[in-house]
Amino acid sequence: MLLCSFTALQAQSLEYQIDGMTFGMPEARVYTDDYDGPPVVGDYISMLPNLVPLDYEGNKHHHIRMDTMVQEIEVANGVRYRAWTFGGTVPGPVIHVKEGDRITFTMTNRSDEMVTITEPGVASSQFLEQTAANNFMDAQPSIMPMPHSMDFHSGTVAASDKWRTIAPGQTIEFDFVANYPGTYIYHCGTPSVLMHTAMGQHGVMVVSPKDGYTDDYEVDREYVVVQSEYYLRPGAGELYQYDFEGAQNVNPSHVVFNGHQSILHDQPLKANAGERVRIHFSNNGPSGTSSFHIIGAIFDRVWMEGHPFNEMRGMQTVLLGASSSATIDFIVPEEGSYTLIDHEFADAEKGATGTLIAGPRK
Amino acid sequence: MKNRILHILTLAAALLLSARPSMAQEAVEIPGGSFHSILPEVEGKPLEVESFYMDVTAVTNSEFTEFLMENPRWRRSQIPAAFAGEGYLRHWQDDLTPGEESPADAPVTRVSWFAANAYCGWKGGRLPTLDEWEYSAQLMEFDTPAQSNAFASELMGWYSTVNTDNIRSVGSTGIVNKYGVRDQFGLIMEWVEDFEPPMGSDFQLNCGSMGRMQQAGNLYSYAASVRYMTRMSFTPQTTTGMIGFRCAYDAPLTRNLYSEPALREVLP
Ligand SMILES: [Cu+2]
Repeated sequence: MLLCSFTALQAQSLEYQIDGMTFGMPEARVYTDDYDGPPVVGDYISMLPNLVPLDYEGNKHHHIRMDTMVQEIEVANGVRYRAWTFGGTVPGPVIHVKEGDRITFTMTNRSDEMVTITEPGVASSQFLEQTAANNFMDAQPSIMPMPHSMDFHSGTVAASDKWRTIAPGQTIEFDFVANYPGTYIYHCGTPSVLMHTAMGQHGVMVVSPKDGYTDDYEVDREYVVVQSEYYLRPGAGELYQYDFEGAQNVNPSHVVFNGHQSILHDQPLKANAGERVRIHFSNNGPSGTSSFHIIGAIFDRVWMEGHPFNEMRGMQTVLLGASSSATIDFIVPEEGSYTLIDHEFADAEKGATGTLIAGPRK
Repeated sequence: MKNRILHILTLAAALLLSARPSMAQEAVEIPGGSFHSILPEVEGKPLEVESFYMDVTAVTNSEFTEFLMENPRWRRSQIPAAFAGEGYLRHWQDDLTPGEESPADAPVTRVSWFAANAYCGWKGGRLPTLDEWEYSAQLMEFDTPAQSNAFASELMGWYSTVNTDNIRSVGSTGIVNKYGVRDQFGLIMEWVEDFEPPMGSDFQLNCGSMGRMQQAGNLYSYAASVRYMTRMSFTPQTTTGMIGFRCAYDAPLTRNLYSEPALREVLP
């Protein structure tokens, strides 16, 4: 059964180029079908803090599926809530593409359906293999039917078309070209956008520059770290629920790295003394700022928003507003343990810290 | 175009009804008045609503079962795809038996707009209009703005925790408007006749609309916005685990709701 939505929008199918970038994507399609396959499908999609290396020359046309569905997850010791997710985790999967790549994106609103992320589908994505092997948030499928949408900050399109809201059971499919390199948040844009993002609907796409960041050296490790806030309060039963007033007043209950108060301590980033480490860091908000610092390190080079032209050197702290990012290279000085921290200490004490463990110099 | 298709389908649906309902459920009169919708309005001109009757509670599983007994073509196995999505009553055991997690006196859910509309026609009524439903919903009595805000805050919490596996009985929320209409919040979301209100072309379902919807200047309108947004995303075939309905009737009542239910056949 295939029922197309009646929604009429102006067609935008005239593709054109400016400065080598491609604009003018075909109109999004919204339809209903009976897809019940894996919720995350694609070759370069991973669970935080991992980034799947790009192993191809030139550009590629990616076909990516990332469904939206509800999962009951743990976000701190003893704190569970029913999250609205992309792909089943908060933040959602890390999507890796190259500057100039084309993406055909498909998303089914499966918020009225039980979808598991702990059984990888056949050849679906590294993300699902990783969540099955490492279900750190103890995700359990749940149902809470709500309208949702997808807004990729890495896309340059008419939001009124591509970022349209779809009802439970509907699927949206659209194309875009990742014209600009950088690390870009994606999030649900359905009102209340504050509620939808705070409930967990956000993640990042890393668009690697086609000519890299620098010819001076190769990095030894590459990670992705996302900061975000939760606004939760105890609910009627054992679960926590959305704290509307906390969200309105920007008073988060938890500020976290990679979606959980302790995930980056229990599963620290790893490196060795003398190595160059690159972190794609994104502050997904929804409302707070981040002053990202690593205790004992200085950021050798920083590319604001992850664009290779925006280079800074020798930064102690990178200040990022909501939905801003930076690509950060640093040299791990000695064997030992390093704390990643939001130097806004109120946030740090609500959870925005993590650990990098450095082994001896090799 | 969309409206015309909807209109044709509605006419077709009306031809598919049969037999008589047992007893119309209890409805109460909501005296006419005016209210501020959260949608943009002409300044100084609140929306006028005429008197009407509305069911005290949402339609229950047992009431909907009666409807299905009398109107076989609205059963899960027979309803045409044009009138309901795949999820129509999918949590029921079979055509006429609500699932184990669907008590007889809990509101029926996973019903399409067409089915809800047909049911109300069979009852001799109709779905409430969006304005009627929202007008009734804001006829709550609060002593202070602080109380109203506390209530709205609870509502926002509810919208983030709806549990479709455990929908309680009608009347169980304890939430009641000043004319006795129950559970407009806290139990399910409900179909209205015109669930997609006509919007100005500059008014879209996006993150900018939320701020513009705060017309009443309180948290209550914020919770209302969530309802408008959710309804606007639906198609008439949508069936989700949180959507049910109640019926409305024109005032003055030309017949006794309790002893003279309408005799109309409603077919999909
Ligand atoms: Cu959403």
